[in-house]
Amino acid sequence: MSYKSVYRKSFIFATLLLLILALAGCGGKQVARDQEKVVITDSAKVEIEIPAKIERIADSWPAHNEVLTMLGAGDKIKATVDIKGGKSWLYIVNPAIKDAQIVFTPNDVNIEELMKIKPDIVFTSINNVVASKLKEAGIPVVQLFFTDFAGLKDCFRTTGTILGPAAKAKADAYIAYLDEKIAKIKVVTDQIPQEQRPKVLHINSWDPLLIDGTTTIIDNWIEIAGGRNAAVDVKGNMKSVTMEKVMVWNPDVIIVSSNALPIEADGTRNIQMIMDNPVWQGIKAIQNKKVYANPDGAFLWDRYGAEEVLQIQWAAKTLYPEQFQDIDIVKETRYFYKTFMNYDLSEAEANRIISGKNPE
Amino acid sequence: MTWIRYSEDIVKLIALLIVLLAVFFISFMVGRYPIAPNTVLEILTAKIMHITPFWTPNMEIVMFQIRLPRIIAAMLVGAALSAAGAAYQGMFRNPMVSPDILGVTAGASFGAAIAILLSWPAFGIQLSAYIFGLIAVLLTYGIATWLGKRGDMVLRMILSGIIMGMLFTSFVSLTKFVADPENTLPAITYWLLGSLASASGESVYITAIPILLGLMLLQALRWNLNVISFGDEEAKALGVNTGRLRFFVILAATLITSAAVSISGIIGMVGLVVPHLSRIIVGPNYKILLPASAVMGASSKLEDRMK
Repeated sequence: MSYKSVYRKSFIFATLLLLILALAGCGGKQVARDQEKVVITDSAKVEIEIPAKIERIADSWPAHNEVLTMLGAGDKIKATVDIKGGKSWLYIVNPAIKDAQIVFTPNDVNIEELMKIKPDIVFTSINNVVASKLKEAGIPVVQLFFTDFAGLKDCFRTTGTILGPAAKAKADAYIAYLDEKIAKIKVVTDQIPQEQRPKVLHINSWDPLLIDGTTTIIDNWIEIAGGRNAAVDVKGNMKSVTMEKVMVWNPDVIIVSSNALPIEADGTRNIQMIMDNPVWQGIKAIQNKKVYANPDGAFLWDRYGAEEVLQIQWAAKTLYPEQFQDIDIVKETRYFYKTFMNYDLSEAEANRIISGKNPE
Repeated sequence: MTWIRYSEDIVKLIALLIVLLAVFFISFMVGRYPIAPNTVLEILTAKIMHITPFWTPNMEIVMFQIRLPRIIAAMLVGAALSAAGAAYQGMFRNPMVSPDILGVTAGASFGAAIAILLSWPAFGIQLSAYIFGLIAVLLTYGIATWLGKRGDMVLRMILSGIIMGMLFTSFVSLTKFVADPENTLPAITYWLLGSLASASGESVYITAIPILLGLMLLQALRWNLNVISFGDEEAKALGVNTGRLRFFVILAATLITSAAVSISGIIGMVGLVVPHLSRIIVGPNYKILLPASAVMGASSKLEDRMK
């Protein structure tokens, strides 16, 4: 075969390929036009056209899967992200999610698997690589994120609006409940002057040592609960710090995310690992035995899920047991699950959640 | 007159040791936790003489439980990688060779990744990294020998080393792929980045054993390295059993590199660059080059720690 004929053949081939691609592109658009559309604005301040009726959802943000469940769209989740190997309480509260395909990893998406599922909408947290990939594929993608309780309310409200009137009502009910609890705690904690507040360090991962700094929901719940974030000079979620830095902060209280702690044979979270570590003996929180494993329910209470409303109550009571004797965390947890998650939580289950244990 | 040349080398070596000692003390003073330099010196002297402590107990924790293990780890790792690099560069007669040429780093990475995946404790991770480092080199050596006697043994070893490196690197990728993105994946990624941050007392002192053994073995083989760097034929003509020598150099270098990598993760550069810097200062004679590389490697890693 001569050089020219190879050239010609590949040219024809390329032209055919382009033609097929162009045709395929047209086909997609025509189908999309048939549906009724609404326009919403997401946390990235992007206006997105989405179908008015949402039936099939893909959600790449672990915390937001819980929000969808609470707002009554748990069975519409058709594609999701691996949430603790399916061992979390979310799978108890929302068994339908077991059928959802796992197509997302924290920073990526299997785009072909996702397109096979044909989602009406994709939820993802902001600045995700996923967002740009999905935009190219023509799937409406809503990016959501927040760093404090005001943002949390916005995010939940937007999600409710997208899902429909019933979900919107549920989101509003949740926000009213959250506002009531925040107000109730702040009545007490607002009286406490800054210098008397305990310095709280929130550990997200033990090895490597990662902590949560300012402009995070963690910072915000610490403040509501009457503490102050020990990591004042660090900004953002899950930041790597050195042990020496922790010694400089010398926190009065340490709260450890339950998934940073190894699980013992009986299911408890091993806090002893920190209490016995020789290097940590100089820290006030260890000397005063004020190291706590964070509760962990349908999502980690400490991070970006609906159970933040329980987190503020638990944190307030943990920091100020005297002042918050009237808060019964077990009762509040069961109330929350019944009212908002449509799940009748037994007292034993509530206790497992509060001590950071996985379901049995 | 050889004795003049010899004493000049000794002077250089002592000078390098003094630099190392200075860097050793300075690196006690560097860190996020503020301790005044003179307090550091007094805390150190208090270990020998009696001084009434005017410092806080936390300062002692910072110095002896956080900084000291890392300083020792940095020195061990630096000395190990540099000495191994120097030995390999001579043995393979190639200035671009570094200690991981036979796949030890990739093997150790895979060992660590799999141990993290199985949620083993810190010591298990270190041990697994160490063992897989040895296995990778053993496989490389095995393949190179199995390929037969024809052709250049050095070339066969380098090629099979590259193959082993790629193989284990792809195993690491596979492990990362199946790892839990919430906790094991970040842990693997951090390990691969290479850091002395997680070096604790016990792990460092255990690692010291193979590193010191390997360094002593290399020291004993110094003059042989001089001979073999002229090439196999010349070495054989001078009565050196090149096959056996190569085996022992690889054994020593692997013992120490694998141990170094098992506490520090992947640390590049040192094993390639420091031997060349030492060569500029003390010349190519392995009798002095090998100890000089070890000392310079130790100081260079210490300077690294200070960042």
